[in-house]
Amino acid sequence: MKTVKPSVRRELYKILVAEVLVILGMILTSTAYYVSQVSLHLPEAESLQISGVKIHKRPLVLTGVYVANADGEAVSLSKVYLIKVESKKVIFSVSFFPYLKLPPREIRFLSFTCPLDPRGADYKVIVVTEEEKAAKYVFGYPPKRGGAFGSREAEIGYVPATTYALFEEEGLG
Amino acid sequence: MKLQLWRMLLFSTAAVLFLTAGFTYYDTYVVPRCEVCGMSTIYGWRDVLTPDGVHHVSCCPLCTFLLVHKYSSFHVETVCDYCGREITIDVENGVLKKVDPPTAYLILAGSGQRKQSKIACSEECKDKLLMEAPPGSKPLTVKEAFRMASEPVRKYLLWHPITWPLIMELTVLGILTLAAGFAARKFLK
Ligand SMILES: [Zn+2]
Ligand SMILES: [Zn+2]
Repeated sequence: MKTVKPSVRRELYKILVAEVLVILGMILTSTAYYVSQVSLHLPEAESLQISGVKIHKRPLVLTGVYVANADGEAVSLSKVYLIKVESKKVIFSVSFFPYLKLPPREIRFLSFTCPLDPRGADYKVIVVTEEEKAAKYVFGYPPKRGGAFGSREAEIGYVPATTYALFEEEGLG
Repeated sequence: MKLQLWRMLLFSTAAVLFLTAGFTYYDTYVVPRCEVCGMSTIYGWRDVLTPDGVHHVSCCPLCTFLLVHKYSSFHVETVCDYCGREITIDVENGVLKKVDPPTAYLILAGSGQRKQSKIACSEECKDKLLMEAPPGSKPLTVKEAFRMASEPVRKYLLWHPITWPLIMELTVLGILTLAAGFAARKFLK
């Protein structure tokens, strides 16, 4: 690069500036991302309870959560977050608009799709209400040869649609 | 110096080609997409099993029925969008064979947006879902919805994903451009 013409040098300089801008943009987006992660310490919604999750096994995806409103007043649900416990990172979020209404003493299913780690992991689901209160639920499954679930389906928080029936038995349905 | 410029040009072209191929692959095959309309399935997972044992996925109940233009027989497993109760639907040779529970309803969103189309297991759940549905939404029995979806004209709604050979072509082109970049000295002589 000893005999670089001034015009070429100018071109190289432009490319350098562009690259610096790209890196700056990346830094800014990741900062914004981390800031958005912090704002999740929400007060608990007393009457709201996540009663289970629904997981589809092949491919491994979380397909929704069951939310129960034990008593009190109707609740409006606005958002769902999924946090990977190990890394404390929000790996997924979905907003519902219009808000989903949940009358007292009823169960609702919130439908969405989030791919899960097939190597085994723990997750925390957070359902947020219109008043910025939250219900939380942790589920997980161990790494296992022969697939994420192996033969231990029952112990690992895989909640099939029978939750519906379970809740009916408990008199909540 | 001309050589350096040529190299830079060829290397950046190769980089663009690789990035395009990678992104297309990710966007078409890694992000779970509805097989019918190509939309992300973030708002709902409707599992469809064809007799050959392959699982397919669609984003909404309407798309699920549109699959009849692609596969003549399939088994659908989904849940009520209100209470989460399991709903199964069987289609055989293009004919609706079984709906369980038989009281299931499809709610066609008035907004025309797929993500707002819902399925309900019962009269009760249908009414509750209708209350929060966009204006103009209408309930259809599964039978009516299936008949509507299987009208031949609706097969034009099917999405065609970017094919694997096209992604391969992009990659090969990228490799060739990269090789040309390395061999640029010879070309210039
Ligand atoms: Zn679709
Ligand atoms: Zn229902």
